[in-house]
Amino acid sequence: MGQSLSVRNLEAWYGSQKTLTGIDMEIPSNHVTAIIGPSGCGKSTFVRCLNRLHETLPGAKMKGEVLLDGSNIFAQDQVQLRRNIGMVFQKANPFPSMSIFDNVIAGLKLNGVRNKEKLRQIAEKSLRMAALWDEVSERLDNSGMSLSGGQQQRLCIARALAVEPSVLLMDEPASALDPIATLHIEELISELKNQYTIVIVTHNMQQAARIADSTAFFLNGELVEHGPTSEMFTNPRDKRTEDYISGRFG
Amino acid sequence: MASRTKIGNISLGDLVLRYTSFLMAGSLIGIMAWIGVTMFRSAGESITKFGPGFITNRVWDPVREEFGALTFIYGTLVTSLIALVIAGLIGVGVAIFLNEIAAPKIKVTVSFLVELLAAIPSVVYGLWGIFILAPLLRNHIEPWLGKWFGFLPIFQGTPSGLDMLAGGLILAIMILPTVAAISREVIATVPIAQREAALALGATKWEMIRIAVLPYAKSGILGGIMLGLGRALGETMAVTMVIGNRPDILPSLFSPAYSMASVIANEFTEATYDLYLSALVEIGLILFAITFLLNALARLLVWSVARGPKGGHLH
Amino acid sequence: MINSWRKNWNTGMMGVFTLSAILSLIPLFAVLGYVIYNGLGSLNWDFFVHLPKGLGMPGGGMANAIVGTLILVALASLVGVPIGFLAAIYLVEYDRSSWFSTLTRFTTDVLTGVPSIIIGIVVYTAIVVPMKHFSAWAAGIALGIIMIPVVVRATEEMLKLVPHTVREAGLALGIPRWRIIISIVVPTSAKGIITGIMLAVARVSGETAPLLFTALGNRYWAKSLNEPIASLPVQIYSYAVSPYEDWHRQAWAGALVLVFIVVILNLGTRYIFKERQK
Repeated sequence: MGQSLSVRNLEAWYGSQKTLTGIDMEIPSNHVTAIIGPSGCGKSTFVRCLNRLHETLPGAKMKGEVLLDGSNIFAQDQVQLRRNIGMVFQKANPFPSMSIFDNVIAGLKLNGVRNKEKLRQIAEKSLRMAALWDEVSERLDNSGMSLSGGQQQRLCIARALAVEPSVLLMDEPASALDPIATLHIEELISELKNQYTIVIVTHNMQQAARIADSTAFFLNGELVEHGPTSEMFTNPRDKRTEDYISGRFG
Repeated sequence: MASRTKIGNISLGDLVLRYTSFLMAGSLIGIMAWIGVTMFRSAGESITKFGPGFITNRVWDPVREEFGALTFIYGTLVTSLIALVIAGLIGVGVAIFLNEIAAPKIKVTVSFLVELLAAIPSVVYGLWGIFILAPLLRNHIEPWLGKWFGFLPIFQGTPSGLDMLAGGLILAIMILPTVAAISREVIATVPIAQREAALALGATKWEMIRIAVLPYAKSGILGGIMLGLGRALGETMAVTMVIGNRPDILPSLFSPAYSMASVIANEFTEATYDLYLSALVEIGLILFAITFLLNALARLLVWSVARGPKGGHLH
Repeated sequence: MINSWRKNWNTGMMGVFTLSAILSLIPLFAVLGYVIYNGLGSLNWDFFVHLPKGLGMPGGGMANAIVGTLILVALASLVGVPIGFLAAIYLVEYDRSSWFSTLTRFTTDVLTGVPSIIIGIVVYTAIVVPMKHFSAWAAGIALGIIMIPVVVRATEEMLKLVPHTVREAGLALGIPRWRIIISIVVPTSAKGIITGIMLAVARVSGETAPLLFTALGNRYWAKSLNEPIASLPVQIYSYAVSPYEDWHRQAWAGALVLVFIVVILNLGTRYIFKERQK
């Protein structure tokens, strides 16, 4: 089941530049939360702070409090945290030296799961959840790179799901895909939210409108507004939100 | 005025520069061919006289006019192998350290220092080898190795100091910068997306290196090691000064030996008759052929990782 | 929670990599340290101005060897720099992608890997033998050949860094190609090219093997470039393998001078590069 995230006064820097200012946000469990905003507004940074990937960049810093189901992520070991909070990236990044099967179980093997039968089961389950099983079940030993862009992305989703996280972060997962592949991913997300908490960064407002339960609008490193998606799009409270949504900038 | 003078539609200056530089570029291919042809021709007498048996013959007897390259091939291979293993492990280790662990200032300093290792002339390494390394080996290291690992044939016998172990160690130091520099470049080209994919799954740094970085960089690193091997095979002065220069084929690393480049260096100017010289050149030809193939293969490997011809920093 | 075994393994491996870095630096300090320590004591005025004394007699210096090296490096540069530089110009400005340029580039790379002793053999066979004597010319040519690929690569890299827009701007102004190359592109990359040449010079000044069959060696001043000539590396080598202690001392001194030259050249290039980036 998904867990909730509680963000209090999160700030982030990249070198001397402050990229996030005082973000306060609640991300409910089993919920799809979309993060929208123009380029450079900090939405990717925000999401990468949640699984502490931001701090792996040289010169990056973050401060503040983020609670995963009540416990502070900074008090936990990063490695363990990233098992609980999974991530799918903008451009699919399967491991080129591994087969489809090996890609899916990569995270599992790291965690010491060796039992072949168990690995096979979890791999199948994850691939089914990612709606990829039917297309690859006959060729699990082929290289991960032999798939199309959309399939590779679903492979990455399966890989992330295999370690059974409670939260799934998705950083513009469909931006590099064609409309049909995008549709597949969106359908997937709608199904996954029953089991996971999903945070999805997107520059595509229509996408947010289609799949997100709530939406957060970021601008210049600040969280401007956050609320149920339908409200945000029909009746935004902040003028800046309204300007962005009606296309006056962005 | 060269800029105004034209032949047809092209200015004179252009013609001159274009064709001169073209000639110079072509000269490279010409030089390569010249080297190959000259080596072949000079080795001709020995090739026809001894045939393929030259490579398997242990005998090297200028007096009886019988020449075989086996002893030198052995010495070269053993010392190069030692160097490969040591420099390969440490070189890749340094490359990983520089890319994944070192803070920026340390990275710059350490990379510079490792490159400096490559700048020290071979003869200086040889000098240091004779007077510092060899005594150290003979008096301390080799006895210690013999005491604890003497059950292995490679560590048996009387320590000499000027032996294959010394040769291998000096070569290791000399090829380390090559392996480290190429591995470093190759590892740096592994995309961040790959590293993050591993980290996002909950991998430790070492696990990230193991599953995302190294597999991706594998062929490039291999290329770097091959280039290092190529360098080791052809290295002359330092090896000549510490290998002992005795044409023996013995299993122990504590025994003196002779390498291909060394015998050429030592006996070339002493070769009193044509066949002798020709035999020495034939050894050179074998050396040339091996390093040529190795380099060609290695370059292809490294190019394939970098996705296109690259160079400059590659020594 | 997270397996402490994995954590320990991680810490351990990071330690191993750090250890490799340390291990790789030990030889550097060991070699340089001893060269300085042993060489400094024997460096004196005599060393720089006197010729070697007779077999085993103490005293004397390496004046002819030092000058010899300078002469040989100059000769090598005469051969290596123009050929290498022009070849690079061709590969970057006129022909970047045909089979010919690919072959040339590939050959250049392979040429850098040819053992220098092979070059020595070839020059011996092709020049020394017909001339019937060893000479500085032959050595210069051998060293020049070794320099060429290094200069080609360095120059090529630098020229490639000059953006196309610069060339296009020149063409749009109606300036002929050759003028653009010589007056605009080359000066832009000059510092980097000079750096490359300096590194090639550093490399070649330490070469010994090819000199053994071309320049041979000379106890006295070479009176012309047509005779054998002394050089620092060869002198160091012959002294080092000799049985005389005094000569050993001088070998260290010679090594110090040689290393000094090489290190200065290497450091100098760094300094020039730093300036360039400001």
